[in-house]
Amino acid sequence: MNRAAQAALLLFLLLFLFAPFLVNPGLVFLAGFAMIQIVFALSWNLLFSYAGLISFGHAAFFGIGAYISAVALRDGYEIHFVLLILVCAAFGALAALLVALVVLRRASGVQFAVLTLALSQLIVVLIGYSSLLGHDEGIAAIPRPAIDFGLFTVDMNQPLTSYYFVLAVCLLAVGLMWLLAKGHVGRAMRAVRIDAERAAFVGIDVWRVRVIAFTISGAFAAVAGAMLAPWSQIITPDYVNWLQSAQPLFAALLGGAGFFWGPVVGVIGLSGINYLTRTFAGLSEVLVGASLILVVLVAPQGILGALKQLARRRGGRTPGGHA
Amino acid sequence: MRTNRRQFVGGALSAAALTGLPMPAIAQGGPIRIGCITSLVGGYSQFGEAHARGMQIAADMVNAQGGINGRQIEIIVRDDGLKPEIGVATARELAADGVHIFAGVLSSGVALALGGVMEELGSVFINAASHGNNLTHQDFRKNYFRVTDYSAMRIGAGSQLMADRYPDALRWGSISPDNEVGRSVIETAGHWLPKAYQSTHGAQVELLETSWVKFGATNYRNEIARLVSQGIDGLIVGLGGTDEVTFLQQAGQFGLTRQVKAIYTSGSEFQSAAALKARTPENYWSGFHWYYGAYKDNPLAQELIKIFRDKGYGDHPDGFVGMAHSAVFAVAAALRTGAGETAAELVPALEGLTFDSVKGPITLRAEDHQAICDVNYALLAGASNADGWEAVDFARIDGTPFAGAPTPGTALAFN
Repeated sequence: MNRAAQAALLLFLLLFLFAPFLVNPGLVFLAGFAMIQIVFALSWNLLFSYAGLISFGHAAFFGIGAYISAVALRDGYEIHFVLLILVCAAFGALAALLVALVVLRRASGVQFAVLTLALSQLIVVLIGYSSLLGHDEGIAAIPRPAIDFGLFTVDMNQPLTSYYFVLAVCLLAVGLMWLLAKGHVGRAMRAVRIDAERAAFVGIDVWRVRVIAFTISGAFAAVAGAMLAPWSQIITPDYVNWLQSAQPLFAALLGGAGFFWGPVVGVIGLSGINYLTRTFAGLSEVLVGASLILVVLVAPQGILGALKQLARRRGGRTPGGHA
Repeated sequence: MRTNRRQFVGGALSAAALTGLPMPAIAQGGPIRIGCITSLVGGYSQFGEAHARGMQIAADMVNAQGGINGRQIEIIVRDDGLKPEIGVATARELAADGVHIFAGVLSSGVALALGGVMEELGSVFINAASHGNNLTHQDFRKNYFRVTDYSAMRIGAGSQLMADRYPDALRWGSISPDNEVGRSVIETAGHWLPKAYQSTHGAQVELLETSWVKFGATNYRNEIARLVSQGIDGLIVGLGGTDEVTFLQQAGQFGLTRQVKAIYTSGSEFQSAAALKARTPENYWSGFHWYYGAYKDNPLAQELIKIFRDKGYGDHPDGFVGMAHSAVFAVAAALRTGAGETAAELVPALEGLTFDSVKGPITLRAEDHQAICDVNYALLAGASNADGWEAVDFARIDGTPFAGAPTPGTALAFN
């Protein structure tokens, strides 16, 4: 990653850290959403950019976390919220593992993508029939928990506390994904993505690596969903449908799919466009569409890719992808 | 070009709003600002636009009379994109900017989400469209008010209307979306339709099993075939909006609409007739939040209709215009009692308030904040005029007997 990109990411971190003191509460609320979307988009990108698998139904795992969290909070289960996040992660991982075990044996490439899409849409339909999950209206007025950590309590009913708790969990999730991507698992995934045959030749179990990648990705998507329930206080099937599944793809495309931090830049870019055009009905969709077309035509490697090329031309460092 | 101080301050405030920087709350001496949060993009944008127009016309009418205690009403229109999180973010942003009164909203999801945060924001939300039973019953929120009728009233009154007009229609079928509003419609019809026929004619009505469909479905052929095979005399349609248009069009092709003696709907206003024109089914009663043709004796309604037409918005103001107008009039009436704009003062002022509206007097029931008002239906048919359709009859029914007992926090129970 070049210095400009590093500086931009540091700036984003500082903006998220100080957002409650810098901008209005509406934007702080959207910043919380953006942080959750960042975790979701990174979980998808872990699959796409590292393991070379494209999922069009990733919102299913996001939805699993969101609905488990929403039901537990709504029905007042006596479960520590941190434990609840872990439970959501476990269910997300389990669901992803089952999908991977079935689908990855039979399909790859486009077939895999379409199968994941079909599975996620099936979940949307099932939610529509479920009274427990609130049918098509979803679950509203989800109470925010007060989380007891022994020495102190994090009361999510306090807007500032709630924001920083979401930020802390999201930073932790992003950090864990970064460590995974940079570690042995990440290297194995990249090897599989670059050339599965050669990877197998050097002793990497390609199928196992893909299953592990899918499982890990599902777990982090579920963590993002689990955080959404108390933050938005409403969960609807819209968070599980194909449009939600497409969000990480858009973010990765805009920010740079070949980079770990690409989806972060993409989510912030898309959120920024949506926010700045909020008073011009219809303009947001036009601008998002135009931005994506522009990026595909002018900078196919996304914003970070364009920055990297710019740095190269100016004789700066020439970092590799996945920085 | 020189820039004076006022232009500079105005520009700076606009820039701050655009970039999301914190805005100073406007002092009490400024205008009374009402946030119109509605859907301005996509398939429901025509209704959202109607909301914005209705509220603006109401504000203009109040302002022309000198405003409220000398203060003008200002309407701030924002798009919620039919997404709860956008609606909530908009409300939070406007609340931080000193706006504590919100109205509009088409989607039940957005209505639920906004209702849930109003107390935290010290604000009041006046819903002008959503009519699921849940909003003033099991999902009741203290700072939420509804100025229009709801499914229990609409379908209850519609059922009585059917019993009055079609005494021979004793075998009824129904189609409805499997969502809160759709279930509300069928549950209400299941209670009121047999009761209405029994009390009016001493007749037994047979209600056949409902054809449940998904919201946004585009193919109703299987459901239509089923309804045809049920041999029904009457049909309850809980679909609404473009779903209803699609269904009625397909039902016409399959002969279902010619088979039945009567059809009544939860409420697509003019939409189906405007789309189907000459293909509008016979004996098709469309539910309305407000049918302007039923209020020729109401000066307020006549004034709204005139302004609407003078502005070139069209000839037929719909119920979304009328109820958005009523939302502003409810706020104006509450503020005239001396209440302030914050929830702490406005909620008690709105509870039990009776105010004059384009629909006549509306009372906001103190217990559950539900409007007690008329229910409107119009019999629409194809016509050889410029519109291609016309209203051949209408019904203006007192909704009070159908409103049910207020049970805030508990689901509506029929007995």
